[in-house]
Parts: sequence; C-alpha cells; structure tokens
Amino acid sequence: MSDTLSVALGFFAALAPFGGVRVFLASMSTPATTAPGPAESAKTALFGGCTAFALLAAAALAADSFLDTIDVSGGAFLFAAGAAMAPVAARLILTGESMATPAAAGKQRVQPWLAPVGAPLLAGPAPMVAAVAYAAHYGEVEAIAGAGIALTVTALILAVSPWVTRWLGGLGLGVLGRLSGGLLIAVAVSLAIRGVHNV
Amino acid sequence: MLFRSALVSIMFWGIFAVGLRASVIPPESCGAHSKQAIGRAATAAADWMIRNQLDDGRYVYLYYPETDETPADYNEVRHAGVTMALYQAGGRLSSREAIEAADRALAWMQENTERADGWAALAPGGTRAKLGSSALMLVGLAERRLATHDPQHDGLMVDLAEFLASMQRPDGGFHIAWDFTKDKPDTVGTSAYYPGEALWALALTHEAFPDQGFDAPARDALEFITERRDDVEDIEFPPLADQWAAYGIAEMIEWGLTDQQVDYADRLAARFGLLVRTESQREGSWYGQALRGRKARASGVGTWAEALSSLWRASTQDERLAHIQPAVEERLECVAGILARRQVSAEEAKSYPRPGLAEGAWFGRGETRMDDQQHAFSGLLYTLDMLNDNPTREPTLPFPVPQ
Repeated sequence: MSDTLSVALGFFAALAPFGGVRVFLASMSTPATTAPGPAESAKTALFGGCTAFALLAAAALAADSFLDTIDVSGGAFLFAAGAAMAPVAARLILTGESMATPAAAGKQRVQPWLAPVGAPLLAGPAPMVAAVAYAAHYGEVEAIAGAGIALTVTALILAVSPWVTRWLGGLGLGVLGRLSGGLLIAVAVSLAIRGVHNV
Repeated sequence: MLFRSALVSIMFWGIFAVGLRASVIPPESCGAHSKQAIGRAATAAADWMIRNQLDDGRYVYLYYPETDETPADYNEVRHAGVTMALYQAGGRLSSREAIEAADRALAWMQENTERADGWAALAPGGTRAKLGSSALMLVGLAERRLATHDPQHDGLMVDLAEFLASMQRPDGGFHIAWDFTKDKPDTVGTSAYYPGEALWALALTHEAFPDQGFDAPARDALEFITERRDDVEDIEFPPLADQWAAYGIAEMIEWGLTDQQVDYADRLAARFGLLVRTESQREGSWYGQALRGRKARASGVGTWAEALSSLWRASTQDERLAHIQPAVEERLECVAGILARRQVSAEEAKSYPRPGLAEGAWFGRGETRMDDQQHAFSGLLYTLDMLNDNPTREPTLPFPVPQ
C-alpha cells in the first residue's frame, strides 16, 4: 500500500464517520424537525469536511514547528499519537459513537457545519494528532493528501447519512460505529509500533 | 448544556494531553553538538586513555572517585577494545602518543598470546582464550595497519583471524572460547556480542588480505547475526543493539548485502534510534528522567553513536538504506551532544581527588571504567565523520610508525 493510502486509511479510522452519524444528524435537528433534508445534509457535510480539511492541513503544515516547540522527535510522537487515539477508540467500542450526541437545539443551529461538524466531530483530537504524526513521519504532502481522501469519503458518508440511518437502523449504525473503534485501535497500535521501530 | 459539555470535553483532553506529555513524550534534549565541542570531547577521551595507561601496558580499569580507589579488576576483552580505540585515535587524530600507548598495550597482548594449530589467540593466564578478546585484538591490529601501513604484524593478524575462523560453528555463530586445559572449544557457553566482534574483525582482515579467504566466514557470521542470533541468544527486544554488527555491515556493504541483511540494518538503526530518543528524554526533564530511569553509562551511549555512525556510513553507500539517513543523522548528532555535555571537563576535574582520572572521563553509578572512554571516543570520532560528510572510516594519510 502506498504511503498516501496508508495515511488515508489511518485518517479514515480516526474520523470514524459511522461513529459520528448521530452527532451529524443531531447537529441539524431541532425539536420541530426530526431529520434534515438531503440538501442540508450534503451542504453540512461538504462545508464541515472543508473546515476539517483546513484544520488538518494546518496541523500537518505546522507539525515540524510544533514538535520542535515541544522538543519531541517524530518517532516519539508517533507513539504518543497511538496513545492519544485510545480514548476515542474506547468510546467508539463502548458506545458506537465518537462523541456525545448534543441535545436538539430549541431552534435551528447557526452554521452546524463549523461546530460541531467541522470541529470537533471531524477535526477532533484523534485526527489532529494523526495529522501531526503522519506529517512528521511520511511528509506534509502525504499527510494532507491522505486527509483529503479520508475526508472526501467521510463527507460522502455523512451526506447520505439520513438514508444510511434509515437503511441500517440504530443497531446497524451501532455495530459499524463499534467496528470503527476496532479499526481505530488497530491504527493506534500500528502507530505506536511504528514509533518504537522508527529511527 | 452545549457549553458545559464542550467545557468538560476540553478539560478531559487538556488533562489527557498533560498526562501524555508527562508519561509518553517528555521533552528531548540533545546538549551541545557543535563540531568543535564533539571534537574536543573526542580528544579529551583519547587523552584519558593515554594518560591512564599503566607501566605494563594495561590501563586503569575502574575508578571510584568517592573512595578514590582503582580496583585491581581487569578484563582483556576491554583491554583490546581500548587499544583498538587508541589506534583509531592515532590514525584519525594523527596522534603519536596514541599510537605509542596502543603499541605498549599491544605488547602486553602479544606477551599473553597463545599459539596452537596454526592460529593465535589472546589468552591471559594461558588457560582460556575468549573469542571477543582475540577479535578486538585483531580489529586493533587492523586499525594499526590502516593508520601506519606498517606490515610487521600481518602474520599475527592472519593467525588471529585463523583462530576466529576455527571457532566458527556450522550455523555461522561462534564458540565463545578455546579451553587450553581440554584442548577444545567451549561448546556450552554463548555470547551475544562476540559474533559481532568476530564479524567485524574477519571483514577487516579480508579487506587487508583479500586473497586469504576470510570473506567466507565473515559472510557466514553476518548471515548468522541477521537471521539467527536473536533467537539463539533469546533476545527480548530484537534486534540486539550490537554496534559491532553495525561496524561489520558498514565494512561489508560494498561487498553486496542481501535484502534481508539490509532490512536487518534498517531495524538495527531503529533500535539504536529508540535508545537515543529515550536517553534524550532522560536528559530533557526531571520527569523524563524519573520516568525513563537512570541515565545510561557512557560505554552504552558511546556504542549507540558507534552503531549509528556505522549505519550512516552504510546508508551513504547503499540506496536501499538511503531512507534512514536523515533520521540517523539527527539521532547521531543528538547522542554525540549528550556525550559531549556529560563528559568531565578540565575545570570540573579539579574537584576530584585525582583530576587526571576524571578529566575527559564519563562517570555513571559512581565510577568510570576504561571502556566508557573507549566507546564514547569511537562514537564521537565517527560522528565527526558524519558532520564532515566523510563516508570513509579509514585514515586518509598513513601515520609514521613510532621508532
């Protein structure tokens, strides 16, 4: 597997789109509206994905300066990135969700694509540390390209999430969310091992 | 509600980040690593080895500054290692004093050399010849030959190499010693590091005498080290951090290595890289030291610099290792900086009971041992090569043999 695809897979695991579907939908809901329409879902997913991409790209570009500032080598940070993914992975495995679902707002939220979708749902702690770790290990271009690929797939899943939710049901979504946690654990362990085996 | 939830989340991740910083990624510090500082540290270490040679050619083995004692313990493998480092100093620093001191140490080894069946081996006491001591004696002689171009010990070199070859097992590993009382090798004991020492010695001997056929046992030894040694020695975290194997790989890289051997070199670089990163975390903060345990002694840290400089050299000659070069350079500069910072300066040495035993030395666990200076010296010397972008380990000009 090429470096970029490997990075994309890592980002996809960290983004865990199936674990974020409920939060995504809830961010656009009010007590009066049970589910957003396809157009609104697509718009929120697109803008949220772009916001997250900007944040992850910025993290990747700032990786070297950030690591210099905190006096940590890239190899050591890989190990830390693996450790940082553990709480999110544990949450996914236990609940099937990457973060707590916010209660429906009394009125329509202003710019849900920015918060909570852009951040922290997509550009949350796990993808952000992944961006720094991958940029330090593989290079900024690979990290940004990998983030772009993973976010595109994630945004597509979120855009069709009303349909996915109807099709899979709560149980199916929960299972996929928990499987996302398993995948994230695998990525976290792989990052930690890579950190140990790094010069 | 949303604000409270966000606040809790931020607090959780804040505490988690602090915990991660303290427990997983404490700050790394690499000390001063200018060429000048590293060069000065190397010279001071060589001076320590010269200055602390005894009248009979041996060296001060151990020094405890707290009690101002120099115990009578000795180890001939380390004697050969320090002598090897002095020949390196002689050739690379053009130091007449280093060559003269090493020649006195060589005379002690020659007096303690036993011969049998066409081979020679270093065996103080005449009952047991350890593989490692003869291997390092041979490396020292090879370094002397490279430094001086003097052929007077060529016969001894070949005889020592014959001893190493005769001790090789069918699997490419080595018996650890020859038992003169039974007139046969010790077939029970094993040593993790002796195969690497023998590998490098045989490789250097083949470079010196290409027609003698010592490349075959060297290749067998490399195959054993890269494919079987970690299992045979039951190494808990393979590959074994063996700088001798790294020296051997750097020497043999131009012979052509298999992909598996190159992969081993890659993993070996990672092993040493991890050790350097961990040590730099010990160096970087009090909590880093508390977490990572006490600092490694210079004989250990020096070997990391020796290994990484060897692997750097290999990476300049084989495209398959080119990808490790930037990281190896970073780690090498770091470990040399740590060594330079920890060395006892002339000013600091004045506070010791015997400043001559402290200046240029590294102390750990309340003592300095002669191989602390040996390994640190060699590591610093070859780090300078990396900093000067010099992939050639041998001295460029022969140094006249002292009369």
